[in-house]
Amino acid sequence: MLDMLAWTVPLAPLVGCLICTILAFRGDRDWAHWPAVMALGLSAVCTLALVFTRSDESGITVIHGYTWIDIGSLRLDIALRLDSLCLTLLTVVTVVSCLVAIYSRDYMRGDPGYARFFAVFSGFVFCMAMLVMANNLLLLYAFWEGVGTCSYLLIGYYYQRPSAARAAVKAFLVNRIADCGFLLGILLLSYAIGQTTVGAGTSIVGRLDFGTIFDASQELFNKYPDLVGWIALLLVVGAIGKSAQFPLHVWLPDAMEGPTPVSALIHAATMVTAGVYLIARMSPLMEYAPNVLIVLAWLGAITSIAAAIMAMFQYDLKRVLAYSTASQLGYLFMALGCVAIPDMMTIAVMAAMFHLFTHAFFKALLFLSAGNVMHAMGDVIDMRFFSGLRKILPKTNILFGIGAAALAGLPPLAAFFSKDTILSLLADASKDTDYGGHFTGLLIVGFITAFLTAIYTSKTYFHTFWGKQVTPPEAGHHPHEATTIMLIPMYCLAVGAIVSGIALGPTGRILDYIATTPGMDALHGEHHEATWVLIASTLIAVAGVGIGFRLSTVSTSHSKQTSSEVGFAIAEFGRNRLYIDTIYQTLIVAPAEWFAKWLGWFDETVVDGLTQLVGQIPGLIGLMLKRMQTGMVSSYAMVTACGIAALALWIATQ
Amino acid sequence: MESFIHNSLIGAGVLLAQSDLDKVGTPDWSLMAFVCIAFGAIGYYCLQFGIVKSNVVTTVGIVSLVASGCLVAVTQTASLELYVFYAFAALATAGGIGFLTARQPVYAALGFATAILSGAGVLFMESALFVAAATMIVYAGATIIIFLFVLMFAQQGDLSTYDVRLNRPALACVIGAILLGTVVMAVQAIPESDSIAGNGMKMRPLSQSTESIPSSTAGLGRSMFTEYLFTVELAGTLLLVATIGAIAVAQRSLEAE
Amino acid sequence: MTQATTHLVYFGSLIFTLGMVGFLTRRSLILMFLSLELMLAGVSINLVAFSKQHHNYQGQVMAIMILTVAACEAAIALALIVSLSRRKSTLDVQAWSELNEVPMRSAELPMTMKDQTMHFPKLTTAGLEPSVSPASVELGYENWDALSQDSEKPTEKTQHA
Repeated sequence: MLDMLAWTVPLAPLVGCLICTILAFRGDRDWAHWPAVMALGLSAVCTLALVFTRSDESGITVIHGYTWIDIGSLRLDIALRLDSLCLTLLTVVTVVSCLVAIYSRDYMRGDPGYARFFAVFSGFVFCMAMLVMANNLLLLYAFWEGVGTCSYLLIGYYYQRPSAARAAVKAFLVNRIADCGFLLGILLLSYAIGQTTVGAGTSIVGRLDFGTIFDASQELFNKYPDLVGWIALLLVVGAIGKSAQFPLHVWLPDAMEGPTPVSALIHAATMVTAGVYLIARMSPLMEYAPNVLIVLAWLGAITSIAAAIMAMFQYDLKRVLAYSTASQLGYLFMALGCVAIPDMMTIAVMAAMFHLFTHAFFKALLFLSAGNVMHAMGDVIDMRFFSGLRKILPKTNILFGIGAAALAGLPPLAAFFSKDTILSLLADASKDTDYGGHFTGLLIVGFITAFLTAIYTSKTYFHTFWGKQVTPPEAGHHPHEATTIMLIPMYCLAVGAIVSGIALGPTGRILDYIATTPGMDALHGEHHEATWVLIASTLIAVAGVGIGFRLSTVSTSHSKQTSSEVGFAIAEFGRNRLYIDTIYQTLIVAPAEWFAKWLGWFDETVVDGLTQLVGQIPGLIGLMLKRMQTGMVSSYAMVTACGIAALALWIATQ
Repeated sequence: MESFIHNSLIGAGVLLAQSDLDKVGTPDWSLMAFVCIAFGAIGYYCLQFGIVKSNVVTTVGIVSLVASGCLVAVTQTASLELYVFYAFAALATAGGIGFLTARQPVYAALGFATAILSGAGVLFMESALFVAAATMIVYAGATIIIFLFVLMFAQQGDLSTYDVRLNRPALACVIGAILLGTVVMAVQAIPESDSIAGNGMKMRPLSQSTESIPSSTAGLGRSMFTEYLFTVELAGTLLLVATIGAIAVAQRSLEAE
Repeated sequence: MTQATTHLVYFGSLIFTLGMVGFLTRRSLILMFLSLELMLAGVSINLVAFSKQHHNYQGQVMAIMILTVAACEAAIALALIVSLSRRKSTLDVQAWSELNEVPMRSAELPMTMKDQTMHFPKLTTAGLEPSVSPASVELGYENWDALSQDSEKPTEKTQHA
């Protein structure tokens, strides 16, 4: 029973993907959502069933699928691993994807690639589910790549638009860079485990089963402490690319070229959380590389601050949300950095997963609301061209408001609790003897980011929905509210955004749940939320909202953005994404393109030239031999006589 | 008279032979032969070059050929038969060289005839009387006549431009020299013996051997019509076919006019 | 081999070589043919030499066969030479080099063949059907103009009409 449920979760979307692919080839535009929605609904139901049937079980369940390769020392089993960590993320993935699929039935209606959208959508969910449930690190990597591919296909959904195509390629390439590091880490890990006693007899791939990794990690640390650090660093590189942290964050804003449901699902709730999931999953190994975790935490912190600054100055609504995603993911990594401190591993992982859970809900809600706005405004998403939409989009107004409040961290909405968990975790960690200084700094960064988050979130909300009503000419005469089918998923997400925080956090449910994951250390003692953190974050959130309101009304009442020169320069800096993209372009992309062009020239001229030269050799030989065909009898006779003379000479000398 | 000539010839031969005293006992052809061939080749080349261009070169050529001949002569033991043979050989060489280097086709034919006749003479010396006679009749007779007739038909004017210069004489010289050299080398590789019995060749015909001169033609006839009858009949058929063919070819060329 | 045989073999080879050199260097068809005959003579001398050595008639019979073949060959070859020289009106063997790939080095060895007027096939102008298939006009390229003019006439008539 359990394995049937478990296998339905990834395989139902796969079947949906295949059916939608067939429908895509037939050019279907009406029915393609049915296979996808039904499959995703089924997998969501199965996930919830799994959660409830296993609620009293602790430990893991490994469910074998089938053996794909079994050649000598190479054996690849496809097996699922169910534990509470996995099921947490799986719930997020399946439920949110089901809701977004229902939403996109109306959003994508009329588009010529309707079926293609749902096909890749379901394929993505299949890959993500398998990624989450994989028992083997290499299998996880395979579906990691699959998720990247589906993301590429979905970002480049409007492939005829050059900016979309470029954005898709950019996302894929940046992910690829990270994946190279990830793969190196996997290979190193496989090699290292082979050297330990635990993994001595296992096959090269079988070594990478999570159970084996966790069993071997202590011994690995004793034998090769430096190697563990390198492996952890490489895994972190992979996580950074997928989760859009500095310095590999450049693809996430451009990924907004895809349709809004894609942004909602992939770039808010699921794919970008894969990196977090990886680190959380590997935390029994990562706890032996504390320096790497500190580096990771700082990278997350840098991303948080930088993304928050950039979000303040963007015109594009979706890009604001993209940067806020990056910023919140930075929070997650800051939380995971606490794994470095012994005794805090379980709580760190719990905090990260909690925030991930709540973030998925309200971020998806925000994105879908942005989709509503875009639909109503005739595909215009530049905030300079509209404002004051509360009369046109009343329901979206409320929903966006809920999501924005959640994001800002206003109590009693979801993110208040999850963000607070992280901040109090950091506060606890700053008391540690070894790395306390780091965590103090991280805590300060966390507060600043929370402040900035509140500012830009409220600024965006008030600008979009309050103030004078301005609609762009593309909106037509009567911009309308979203349809019911689009609103129902948003209601569900709003419920999740409101409730999930209270339900899971303070009650300690999620803590206990995650703690049952094997590999996590047992809880030592009780965990108290520091009260001063609660108060401080509330104050910060309220202050940020106020300032944001002020900035937004200021920006609507006054035509120019900021008055001071410095402010203007900072705004430009932020709007141009801190020029990081420009730096990358000049330092990395342009030389690479030049090199590629040179290689192309080399291939065409030198290699092809050589090949053609070789190809012309028979011609040249023919030219030379052609001279023998003079057609003159005397020449022929001469040649014959030469041959006879040579032959005679040779025979005579034998 | 005969003895005087005989003695004088022997004396001359001894005189000449005394210049190479060490070579009298065992005639060693090996290096001498190649030198002779080389001289001959140079001589021919200079001759064909010099006839058109300059007389000096012609003289050089002739001198070279003569030197080659003398070299041949001095390294052999003296005997009358051998000197007659050398005379024929010299005549044949002269005829051949003349055939090769003549500019007028008729002079070439003359050289050709001389060479053939010298060959026939040698054949006479070797008691192949019928073959010698047949050679003279067919080659020096029929072939030359046909040639002259064709020359009458086909030759336009006196001397055509294509006869003035030979076609790659140097390469042809080298090839000829190489071939002659290889023949010399091959022949010298065979051990010398005075009779056949030492060589182990067993080719006894049905007819009797040709040790006596008068029965040579008769013996040839007997051999031809008993052992090689089939060959003879084939040869006759071939002649018939050739005759018909020649008439047919000639007819068609007449029709094409 | 006896010494006599040796001498004869040298002699025969000499005649043969002279004939071969003549065949290679000569440009006139008749003289090339004569060189062939000289080669055959040299060979027959060799055969007779060996016949003398072996004391049997095999060599002589072969020599007689060679003679026969030479005679046949002379007849046919000279008939062919006559007809060939009629085609090109020259006895130069280098006139027959149509199977060549490389143009002749005509500067070194001057040709005497007369320049032939080349007959290029005349194609009908585009759009018109040739009225007569070329296979039925045997090498009569001179009539091609008339044929193409014939095919043009009907259209001219229709225009006038």
